[in-house]
Amino acid sequence: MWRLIAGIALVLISCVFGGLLCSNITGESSTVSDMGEDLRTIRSLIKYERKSMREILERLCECGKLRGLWCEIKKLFEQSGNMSGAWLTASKTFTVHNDEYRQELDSFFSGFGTGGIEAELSRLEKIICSTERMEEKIKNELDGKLKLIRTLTTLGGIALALIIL
Amino acid sequence: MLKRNDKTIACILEVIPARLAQIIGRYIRTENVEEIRFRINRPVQLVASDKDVLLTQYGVFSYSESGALLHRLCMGSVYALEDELAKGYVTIIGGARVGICGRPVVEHGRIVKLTDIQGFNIRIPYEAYGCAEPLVNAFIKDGRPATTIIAAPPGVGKTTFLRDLARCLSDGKGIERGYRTAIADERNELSGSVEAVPMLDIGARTDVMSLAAKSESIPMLIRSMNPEVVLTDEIMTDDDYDAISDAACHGVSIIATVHARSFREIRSISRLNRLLDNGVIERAWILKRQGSAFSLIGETGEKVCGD
Repeated sequence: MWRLIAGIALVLISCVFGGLLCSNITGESSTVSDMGEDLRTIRSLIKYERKSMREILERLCECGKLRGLWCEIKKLFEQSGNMSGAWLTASKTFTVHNDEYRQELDSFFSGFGTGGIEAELSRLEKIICSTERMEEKIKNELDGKLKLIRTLTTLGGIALALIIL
Repeated sequence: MLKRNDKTIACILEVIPARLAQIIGRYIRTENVEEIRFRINRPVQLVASDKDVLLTQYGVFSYSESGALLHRLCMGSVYALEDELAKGYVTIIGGARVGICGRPVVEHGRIVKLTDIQGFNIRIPYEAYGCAEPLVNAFIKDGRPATTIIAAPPGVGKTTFLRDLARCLSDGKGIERGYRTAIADERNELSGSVEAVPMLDIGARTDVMSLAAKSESIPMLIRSMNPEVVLTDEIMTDDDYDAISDAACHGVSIIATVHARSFREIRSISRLNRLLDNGVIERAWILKRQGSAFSLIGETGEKVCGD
């Protein structure tokens, strides 16, 4: 009887363990998704309100998804007036493992604010599209990984339970 | 009485190329510089009321410096000031106005953008606290501001005077009480607003509508802010005169400036002449300046003097 209870407990524990592992590896996905959300906010603030860089950073610092990052950029931008430098310094904490997407973000923010309204909006559209593609790609990769982790941990739990029994 | 705001000067020195900030700062403080002109591949020019200086010993203003200057003038947000740039000027923090020239992009007969920017003219604004105070009663009739035209040729200080007049009417300086005052600031020269905040002192009871045509902003101000008096700079077009007539019909006084040297020139502007004759415009004054003191001359020769 005790062995049966221990076996069931093992299976449950392995499922919980698998879930915890899964939640840890969704970090990058949510960061990219948050960046996408904030970029869409920037687009609206420019398109409909013609907000200046300072006002945009202020808004994102107050209610953006990546508040910590924007507050840091705002602080650096106010000191130097240089968006490119502010982004490069502050974005070290922004974890994206895809080099191509990272370069796209660096290139976007290095020229952000120097063009006219149409140029800025078209560059924003482009980076938003890249972010959405990246989000989709990470999500697909993640789905596969999550399935594998859940299956392996559950099977591991069942195997252990069978050994005990 | 005429003096510059230290904060304005500090803001100007922050945006100009660092290698020139020290020397230009010295000239501003000692030589009464009114304008700083930057032209690509040419030396910087400083213009004072009585002379101008070319800073030839500091080399020419380069193309890359021009890009950096534009970026700093726009506070890193060129797109946000595109409409102002298309009109040929931007206002920076501190209230200084910067004239800009380059290659206009025209769409449907209208300038929509300015590209290939090659020249900047930073105009250092004067603050003339109290210059209108001894004269403010000349704008009051039967206990309310009268609809009035202030005429003067360029360079006398119409804008400086009008700004201080707004402050006096708003704060009740030199008169019995302060009035609900509004400014239709088409070129953002009176208030020097940046991000909707006036950088220059225009009084505690003053509302500003900036960067919109007078013919649009005056009716909007009347509808939305219920002012007792609206001040505006340099009326010129038929639409401007229509806006004055309409305001008078709504019982709101307008005080506006116009380019003219004499009453003969005022009367030669047919729309203005008609408004004076039918009493819509109740008063007209020629503004004179001697040193830092202003005075007003009426059509019948009466004179109101400042300090």
